Amino acid sequence: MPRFQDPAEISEFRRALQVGHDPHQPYVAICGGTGCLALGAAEVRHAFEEAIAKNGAEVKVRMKFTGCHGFCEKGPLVVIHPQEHLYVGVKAKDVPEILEKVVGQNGLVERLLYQDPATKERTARESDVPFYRHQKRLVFGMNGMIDPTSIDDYIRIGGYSALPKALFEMTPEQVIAEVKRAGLRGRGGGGFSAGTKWETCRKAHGNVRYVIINADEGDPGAYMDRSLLEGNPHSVLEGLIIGAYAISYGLSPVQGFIYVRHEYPLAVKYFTTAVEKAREYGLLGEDILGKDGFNFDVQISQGGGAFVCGESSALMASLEGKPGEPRAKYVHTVHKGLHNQPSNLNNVETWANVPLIVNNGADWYAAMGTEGSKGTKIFSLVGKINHTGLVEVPMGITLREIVYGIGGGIRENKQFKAVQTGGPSGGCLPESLLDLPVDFDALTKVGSMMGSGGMIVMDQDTCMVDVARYFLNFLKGESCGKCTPCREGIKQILHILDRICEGDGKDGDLQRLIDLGNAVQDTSLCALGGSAANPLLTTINYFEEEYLAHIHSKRCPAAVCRALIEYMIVAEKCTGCMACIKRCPKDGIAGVLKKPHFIDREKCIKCGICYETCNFDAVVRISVGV
Amino acid sequence: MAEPDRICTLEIDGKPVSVPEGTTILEAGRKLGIEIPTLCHHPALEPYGVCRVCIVEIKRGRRVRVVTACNFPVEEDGLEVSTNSERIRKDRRVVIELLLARCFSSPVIREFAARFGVIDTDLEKTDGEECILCGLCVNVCRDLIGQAAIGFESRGADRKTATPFGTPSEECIGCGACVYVCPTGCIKMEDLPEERMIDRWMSLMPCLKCRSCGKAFGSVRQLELLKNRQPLVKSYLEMCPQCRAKGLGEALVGQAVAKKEAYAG
Repeated sequence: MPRFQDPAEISEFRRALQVGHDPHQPYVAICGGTGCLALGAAEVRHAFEEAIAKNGAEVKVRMKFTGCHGFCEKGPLVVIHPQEHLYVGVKAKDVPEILEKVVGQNGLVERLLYQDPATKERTARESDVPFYRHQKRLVFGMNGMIDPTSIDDYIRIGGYSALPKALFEMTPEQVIAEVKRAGLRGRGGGGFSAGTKWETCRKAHGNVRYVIINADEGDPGAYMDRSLLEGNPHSVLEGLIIGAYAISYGLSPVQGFIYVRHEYPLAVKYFTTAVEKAREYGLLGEDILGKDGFNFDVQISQGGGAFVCGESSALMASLEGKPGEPRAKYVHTVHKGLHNQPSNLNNVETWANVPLIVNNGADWYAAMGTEGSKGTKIFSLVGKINHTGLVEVPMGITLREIVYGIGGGIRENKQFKAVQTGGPSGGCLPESLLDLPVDFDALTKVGSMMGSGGMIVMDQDTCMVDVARYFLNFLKGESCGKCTPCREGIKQILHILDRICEGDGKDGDLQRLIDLGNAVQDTSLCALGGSAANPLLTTINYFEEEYLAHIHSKRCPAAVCRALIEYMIVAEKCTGCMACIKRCPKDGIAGVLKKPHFIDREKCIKCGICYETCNFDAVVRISVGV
Repeated sequence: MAEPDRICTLEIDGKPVSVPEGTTILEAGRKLGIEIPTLCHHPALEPYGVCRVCIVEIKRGRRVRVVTACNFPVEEDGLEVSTNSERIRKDRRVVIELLLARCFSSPVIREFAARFGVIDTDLEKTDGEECILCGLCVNVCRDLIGQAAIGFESRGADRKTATPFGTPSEECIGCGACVYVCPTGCIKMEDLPEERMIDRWMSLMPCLKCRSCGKAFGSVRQLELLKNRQPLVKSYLEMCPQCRAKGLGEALVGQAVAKKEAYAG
């Protein structure tokens, strides 16, 4: 085990690793990301291990259990290198067949290749699959190439080359200038210039400086940061070490923290391993890589599951052992943060971008994206689309390209209705805004936000009033309750939305909601309350007619709100199979075999079981209103 | 870091005022005689900034935003503050309505709201609630008394002030500071013949009996704490306020008599 004393040693070590790695030797990369694990990746791994051992093939075929590849919809994923052949939906029983083809180098297992849902065409190479073809996987792409527990893997593919460059070829000021010029903006939601933040923190007065990784990712359905920490923890750590140098070197001692969700056990485990390995290799500790006086280490702190702790001042309060509640940030945390000392907090993805910028330069980085948003952004693309998963796209790509190009369009050929960007407190954008570029400022301008990268696609069967209600309910549960508007305002908004969905909406409700939403946005203490009204205000702005239908006609156009709908059986479609009759919990469906059935409205509790049960689309939901 | 002597000039509602750097907008306004409404502010405590009724609109360059006056520090020249713009009136009205809906049972809050023309609200009202969660009781107990006997429980709409685990707090000394700072008067304290009771915290503190008259007058633990903290003659804290006054009168009369006798002598 090496302990690097100077930059030359790490380069030599890398060269040796590369020499020992024959690029032509086949290796099997099994995605061990959260999605694939849930779909059975561990069994696939086990099957590969057994099959390789049985065939004595290990000399010829190596295997890696990697982090998330992103195409979670189609997991478990297996990629065969060096050809980059992608197999989707792999089961343990498929493994011997795959291995046989790999060892014999004789073709492909056709049936496991990705198949286009429309053209039925199959694609072999991972990078040719539409899901990947439109992406630019700078940060996330390395996930598929390395074992996240192996520091050697990371070093071999060029990891920890930015750190010595920063330490020995650049002054702290030069590093900051480079990050600033690159135009890197905070990926956690704020979108503030990372370089400016670092610069302010460096210039602030303090006895010690803190650098913090915010890994308290809490948006429902979003797992970008989780997958980075689980797939490539060293890239985040390397970014942090470079940041620590840039912010503190020559001025004060510096201490690092990662605040990571307790609910991310694998991320905690892999990041802990990464920190331990980095210590062993001399990449953390005293006089790092022989840099005189650069001492730095990282402490791992686990959050208890409060969404609001992703807010920087609440996170720092929690790190101090206090309740995770935000405070006013009129004095910024870069001046007085953790323990009242200058503290620089960035999101996981922001830190992971840093080594790329140092290695490739600000010009290279700034060449990607739009005027105000540079580089790439990872999104968690979920909802009613064909290809869900994690996607990394260049800034400036349109929402349409993401939804249709990468996401493969709406499921079951239904109509697109809205896309929510930015997590639970993002806005819902309609079809007419689909050509909007992914850009911090463009998204804010239309009432939504980049946020940390949640992206939820909704189809025609989604009720926008219900969507607003859903997210406000989430935020009501996650508000810390410290300030009046967030605590009381969200509650009152939700109360009105509940009424509207129950069919008790009244004249003036809409204006009342707008006034409440604006005030909560204006007067809340932190960004949670400050953005909580986004889902409400954007749905009112872009889908006003749905609100009006609920309020005035007592009708839910998408036929979702239970109080406003009825279940009916279309006699022409009903085959009289009696399946719905058997499953109705209230004996509310009448009928005999091979004759159309009927739902008794008096008995129906609108549970929807008949709707789910019918194989002939004979049960329909309707909302006729008054 | 703030240099203590730097003076910043700002404008509040069009009137210029100069204040030392770090002064809050609230204090700067008071200097001008402009009263910005507050509920969770107390001069003895660090601003907590949660009730949000002290919101003002500030303009720096082209950027306009809403901040709370109680904790926004003036740190540069040229800040333009508006305490009563249309946006502020609208936002403040909603905040007051939200508080009124929460505490419709509180006469103090109803009177406060009425000052802003908010007599009633169609928002959902909570029955019997008089606490606005301003945090003054929690903060005074922790930061000034040093006991931290009470805190917040639950989060969001369920947030409330409470003792640990809903049982009487071992840390409560019955000093009554929480009662004193509560802006709505929802924490009640009562001196019974032998004990002091603070109902909200389930506190029942034994009282000390006056060395002179035997009447119970103050919580034993509170007086213990004072004894350790204030440079007072020990006997001072062993008497009730009345006997203290009587004792002082006696001493003064005695001194006067002694003086006279000295002259006469």
